[in-house]
Amino acid sequence: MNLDAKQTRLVIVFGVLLGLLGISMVMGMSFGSTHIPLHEVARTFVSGLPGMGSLLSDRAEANSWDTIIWDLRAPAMVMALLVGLGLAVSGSSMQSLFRNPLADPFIIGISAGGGFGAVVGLLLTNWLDLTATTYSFLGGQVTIAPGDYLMVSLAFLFSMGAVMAAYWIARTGGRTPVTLLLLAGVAISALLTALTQFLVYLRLENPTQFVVSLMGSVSNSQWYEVGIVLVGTIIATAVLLVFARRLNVMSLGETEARSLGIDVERSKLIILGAAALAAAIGIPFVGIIGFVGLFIPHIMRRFVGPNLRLLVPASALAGASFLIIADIISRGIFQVLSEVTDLGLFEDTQVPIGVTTSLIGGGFFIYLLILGRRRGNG
Amino acid sequence: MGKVILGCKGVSFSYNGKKVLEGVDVAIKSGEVVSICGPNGSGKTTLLRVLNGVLEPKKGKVQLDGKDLTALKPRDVAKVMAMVPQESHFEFDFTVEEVVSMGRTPHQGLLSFTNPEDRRSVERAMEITEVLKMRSKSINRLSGGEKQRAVVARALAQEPQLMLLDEPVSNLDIKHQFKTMKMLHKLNKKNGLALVMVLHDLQMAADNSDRLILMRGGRVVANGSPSAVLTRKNIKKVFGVDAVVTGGKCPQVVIKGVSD
Repeated sequence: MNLDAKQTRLVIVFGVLLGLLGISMVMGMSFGSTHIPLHEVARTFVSGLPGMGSLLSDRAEANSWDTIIWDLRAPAMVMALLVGLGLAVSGSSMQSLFRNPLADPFIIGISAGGGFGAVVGLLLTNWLDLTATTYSFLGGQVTIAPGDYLMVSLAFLFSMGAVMAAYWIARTGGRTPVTLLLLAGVAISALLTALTQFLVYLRLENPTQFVVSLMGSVSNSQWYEVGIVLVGTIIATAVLLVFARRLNVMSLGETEARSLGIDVERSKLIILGAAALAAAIGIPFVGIIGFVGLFIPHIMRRFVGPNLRLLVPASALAGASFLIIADIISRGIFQVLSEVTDLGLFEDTQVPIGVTTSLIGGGFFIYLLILGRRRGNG
Repeated sequence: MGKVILGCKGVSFSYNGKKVLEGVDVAIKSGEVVSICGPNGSGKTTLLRVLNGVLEPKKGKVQLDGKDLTALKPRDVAKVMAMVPQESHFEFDFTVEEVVSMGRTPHQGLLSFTNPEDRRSVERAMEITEVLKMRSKSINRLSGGEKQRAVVARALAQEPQLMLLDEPVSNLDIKHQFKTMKMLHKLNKKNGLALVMVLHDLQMAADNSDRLILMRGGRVVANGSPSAVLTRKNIKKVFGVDAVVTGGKCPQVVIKGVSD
């Protein structure tokens, strides 16, 4: 195969991204309050594959490790992977659609809409007394959770509604100035966040716990929840990949996209829907996680360029790895602190993952902005 | 020159209640070069956008190949007619080749991959417009003239029968103005591409067009061959300047001063 310089570069970039994802996946299962050696993680995985049977381990802890990996760490890790992937894919598409590298599901109102929808869904679930039931099915277990379906649907609908409302407010005389759109997104986010908090304090018995869970955590993820997020993320990502070429053209502006033969209004609705789905589907389960959709595509654009056929997959891989690593840090930071300080105070405490992503993402973004300003391009 | 390919009848358009076009009739024949001239705010760009289907007229209708523009799918319109806007802003650093490839959009389905025909067309468009050697460069690193040629290449990759150009030379120095007009002239003569251009320079319009349309206040004031349209009287009426016109069939226009 003959590769030119650009293709070689792409092969390297995607190779590194895939490697990074693999490493962070294994690390996500190994690190935690119980440290599981890496080769034991690998053994557990291989023995979990169909037809491999159970590989015997000579270690006494092997059984409890299996349980920790399969019931606790693996669902949390896959959840982090999917949510990070969805946020990054959503962000890369929104930035092209709104022609602004500052567009992000968090800023544009998708996250706040999703949070509001999730809370409304939760209240309805409690009120209607919808409970999840687990059935045996073909030797496996299937969980039907109508309350979760309701929360996911409402999160999606409200996130879509929020971004469309921002769009409608910002639209003047057939144009949508980006500054207006971002301001409208910020305003709608503030409004919906206030409404969410109002509902939480009005109707929930333990508001503090819920507020903390809205700040983001993948720790308590169940496999059936992962399943729901998986389906939504696959659909949304597939749509965005199919529309990637069209979205490239739409990043030139609506007038030019139209004269290049694109049915702008229809495509915009589909892309917005997919971007909202990718970012909102995880919110009922892991809460609101900011900044991943903003800075992952921003960094990836420096490596693979603005072409969404490359940028969407690159952002997907990078976003997935980033959130898994952010989760490891969230789980481990207090453990490290307690070991260093020898106080044993924080041992079981976790930082909400949304706090970690905003700390890392925000800090890195400021660094990028300063770097860009020094170089004379923002 | 053949049949009418693009035409509009009784077209009116207004922005926020302000009338920009009023009762405009225009017909473009295939293979024809038509220039639209007029002072700022006379409705030239709006007319071009209405003809392109980007703006929908409040009154009147636009027809492409005998079919109502509103009844056609955007992609079917884009296969016949391409637009080169006055200014293109690229928020993201696409390469020249990526930008030109976007011209293939109307010929590509949602799931189809870039095929050899797309590649040939993009290659040819870049060759004609002389942007081939800067194909891997970022579009935002090109000079004004190069960027303009890349956008023309994108329009060519659509393989249209008709190209609308909004002030294609207004941001260029004299040499690049001349080069661009020469390239457009060649495209018209060799490929039979019909051109509709908004031009500010009356002499350039006279030298390069089969037909001239003079606009003022959203109305067509004169429409015909350069020698018939570029009269002292018309120029005074439309632009408010005194001009000397010589040269009979190939009019030479010299502006002498501002009248009134």
